[in-house]
Amino acid sequence: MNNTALLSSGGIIILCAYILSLIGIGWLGKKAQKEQSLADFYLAGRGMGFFVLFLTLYATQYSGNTLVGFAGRAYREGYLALVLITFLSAAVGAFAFYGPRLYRLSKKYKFITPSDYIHHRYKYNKLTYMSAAICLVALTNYILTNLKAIGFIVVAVTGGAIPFAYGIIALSLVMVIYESLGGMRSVAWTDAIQGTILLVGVVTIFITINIEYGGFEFIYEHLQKVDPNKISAPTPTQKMSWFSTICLGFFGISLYPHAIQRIYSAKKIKTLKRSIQIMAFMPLITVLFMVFVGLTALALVPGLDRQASEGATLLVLKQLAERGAIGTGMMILFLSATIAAIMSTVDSSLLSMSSIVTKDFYTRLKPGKNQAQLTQIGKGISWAIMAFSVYLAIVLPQTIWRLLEIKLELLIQISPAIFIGLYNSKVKGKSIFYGMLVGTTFSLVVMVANKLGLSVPAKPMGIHAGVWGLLINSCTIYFFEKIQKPKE
Amino acid sequence: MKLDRIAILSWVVLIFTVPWVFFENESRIIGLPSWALYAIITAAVYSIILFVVIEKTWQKEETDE
Repeated sequence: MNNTALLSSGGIIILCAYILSLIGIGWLGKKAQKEQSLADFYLAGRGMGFFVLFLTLYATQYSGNTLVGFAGRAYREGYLALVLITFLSAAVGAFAFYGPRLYRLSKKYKFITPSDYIHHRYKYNKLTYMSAAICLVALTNYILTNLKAIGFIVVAVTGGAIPFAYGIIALSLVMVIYESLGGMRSVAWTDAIQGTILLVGVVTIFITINIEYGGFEFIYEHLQKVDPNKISAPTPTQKMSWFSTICLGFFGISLYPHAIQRIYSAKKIKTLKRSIQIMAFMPLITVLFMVFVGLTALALVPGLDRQASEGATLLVLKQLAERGAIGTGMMILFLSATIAAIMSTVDSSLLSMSSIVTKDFYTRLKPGKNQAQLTQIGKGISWAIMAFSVYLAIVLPQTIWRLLEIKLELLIQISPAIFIGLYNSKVKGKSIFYGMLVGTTFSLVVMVANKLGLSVPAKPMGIHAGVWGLLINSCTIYFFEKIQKPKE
Repeated sequence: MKLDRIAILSWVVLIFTVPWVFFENESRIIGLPSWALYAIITAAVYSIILFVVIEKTWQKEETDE
């Protein structure tokens, strides 16, 4: 990627105006605040209607990784990247399964965080803290990778006029300001705008590419000439990996704390139902379209290395601009969509992390504060988390970044606590805790060893380490349940 | 429909979304390798099934509310 700015100074000003307007939305969120309580700040008073709930679910689930990373993956893997559609659909499948029951319990027992449910169900402190810690680590990794993506996009948009670090600092400041103004309400309202831009941006680029290049026929014919391996049917190991990816989506993506908190935030079960029903179709519109963008980049400019392929989306945009197929307006739209996707994910993760630190750790370790005090503490924690994340995003060495890819492998280990807990009243917290501990340790050891370059595969027999970890986790729970029974 | 049946149905369909039975890139249909088209169609079928299942099973939760 060369240093030519993707936008002119006029375009950059429009983009900046859009980003700054989000602070105005945050202020409106503050005005709509009904009370100084954790439920009002972190869950918008549990009163989210269909329109906002759907768009915030959508904007949160589809991060910058969807717009940038998925196209890059399609560039490198070809049609195999289609698994990403089912990967995200599977998460919606999990919502369908546990959503209604968890929603009803959250209303009844006033849950704020996922660990609130785990504590309510098992009443086993070690398990509560461990699940909260896993959520925090997964969200930290999520925030850091997205902040880094923001820095790269700012550099690409401005041609390096705004350096990487300044880009991260400026956008993080905007996010933390509107988040601490109105909490979930501000985040969800900005998500509604960002989700709309994201959807319009993705659909527009898909249609434009179809008109300009000729769609799937164009891709197939070019790939047959330049890289026929990318159209081959998956090998048996790749099929296992495909299935394993679906498992990660079902048991991992569905348990992102900010996703669970959106379930808690729904006004009515009907609102949640409609939102999740429509979410079931969003992978077909969003992920399929971005895979298509990545495949088009491959057909147009084959031979890029891994790092360059991450810029597949921007590459296609540049090509379209050079052909005169898109003007400044559409370029602004798509870049806004990309930045919106990243911001909506970071702000939701930040809010979720702040709630976990405040509710799962601070409140349990230092009880006695009232709701207004806790809300203020939560806001302070948001600023501290964001400052620390920005610092890490700027200074972390490349070797550590590889470890930050470990997210879902950890999060998936919480799934037995939720799924078994909701549908089996007999399983004990101790069994779930040891299962989580063993599964997490196994996954971490395998993943870290792999990332550090040891000869340990990240996917033994095509199955992700996290999925093996989940299997071991479940077997450990079964074992502990068996050995505890005779004592009763 | 009970929730355990939903789980079984969901996983059966998910297992079928993997293009297990395709071994070679035999043909091209509407510009896509046949196995890729299969993956897209089964993903769409899964989405439709989810829509229907949520409609049917969550109704009880709505009336309970």
